[in-house]
Amino acid sequence: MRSNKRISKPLADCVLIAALVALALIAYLILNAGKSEGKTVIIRENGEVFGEYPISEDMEIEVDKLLTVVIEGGGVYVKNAVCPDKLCERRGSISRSGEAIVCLPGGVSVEISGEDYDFVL
Amino acid sequence: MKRLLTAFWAVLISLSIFSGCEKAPSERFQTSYTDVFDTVCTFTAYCDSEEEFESVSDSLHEELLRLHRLFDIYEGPQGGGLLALNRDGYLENPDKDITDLLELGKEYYEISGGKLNIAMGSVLSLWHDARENGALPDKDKLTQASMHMDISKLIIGDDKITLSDSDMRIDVGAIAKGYAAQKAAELIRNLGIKNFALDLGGNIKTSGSKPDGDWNIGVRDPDGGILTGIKAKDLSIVTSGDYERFFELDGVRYSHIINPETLYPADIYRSVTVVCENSADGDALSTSLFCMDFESGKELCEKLEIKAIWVLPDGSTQTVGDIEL
Repeated sequence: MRSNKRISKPLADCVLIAALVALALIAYLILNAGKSEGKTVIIRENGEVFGEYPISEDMEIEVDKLLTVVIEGGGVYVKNAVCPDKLCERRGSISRSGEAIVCLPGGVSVEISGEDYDFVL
Repeated sequence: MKRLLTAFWAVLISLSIFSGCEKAPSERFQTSYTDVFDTVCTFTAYCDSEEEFESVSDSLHEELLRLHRLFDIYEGPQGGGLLALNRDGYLENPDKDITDLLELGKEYYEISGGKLNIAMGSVLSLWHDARENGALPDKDKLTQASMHMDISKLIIGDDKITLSDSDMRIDVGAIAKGYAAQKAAELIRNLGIKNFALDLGGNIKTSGSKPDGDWNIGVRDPDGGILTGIKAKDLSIVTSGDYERFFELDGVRYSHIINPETLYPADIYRSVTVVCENSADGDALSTSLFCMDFESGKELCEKLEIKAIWVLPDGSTQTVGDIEL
């Protein structure tokens, strides 16, 4: 019988099929990775929005001579802070939505928002 | 050879499982109009082709223009609309949309305990002039006008609408956009479009979803940024606030919503957002709640089983229903 022959090496077949399925899944995930929504960097000064910038574009934003926000390669960090403790600089780079850098003396916060709104009201 | 064949099929099958099976998703299209209801109307939809979207959005635009002409009381052309009702004191053989809108207004007068009154047009026109002229209305004139806002004198008959107080004026500004958004959404759905969102100046009506999930509507924090995102599927979200439509006099900011009891702009909240199914209800409720103390508003929301967010002058918030801030 035909099927008997195939069952003779069932384990090898299973491994092969599983490997191919995994390969297809990986390919699918890679193809879809580019569809992830754009994140926004929101800078606030004393609670008021100073500016909103796409995280995908490299740029430097000087916030009222208090500090400079650098958006670079999908990450955000603070440099040239005038505050004495420089905690915000030491925070390093953030990149995930929900993460924030806060400079308490200067009243400045830098936050990454991952939400992509269809409408705002 | 047979094994190779098996492997080949395995690849094909698994590829199709992970990617190819579902129908190609339709494309996202968007357009805006600025000539309806003195606001910006934005229509976003998923359609199979640009031709389909254009044909649907043309019908939508026509419908909004038609409703705008019926409900406008300031500059509408001569016709059978509310402008004529205010001018003549009666309207014969009214369009069904006028009858339905006025009935809705009467219904919400009862529901809101008088906080929403479409018969206070005489008071609102004084505030309309105030905005144009940059001077507060005369207090005596306001009191005078308030003698003519008894909604029971708006008589809706089968083939004739009558204002039995000749000094009474109808102003449907608080409910017209929500009603129009609801009607327009029904039209779009009847034209075969299932997944769309319509924003008519702060009245958002969503239908279906996007290929990657539900519609995501951001509710603005009056002090900047976003208060919360609401995942909306077949829902209406309506905000009444003092931060989009307002006017300033001597450094004081006045909301465009006038409290029928005080005859002055409501100032209890910065904004009130209502989440419910029907956009006409949402518009009427957000205006009602904007003029109502929080306890009464909360009670009303719980009775009607709707969700709402209040932002108070100090920036604090209150919510009713399952909303996370």
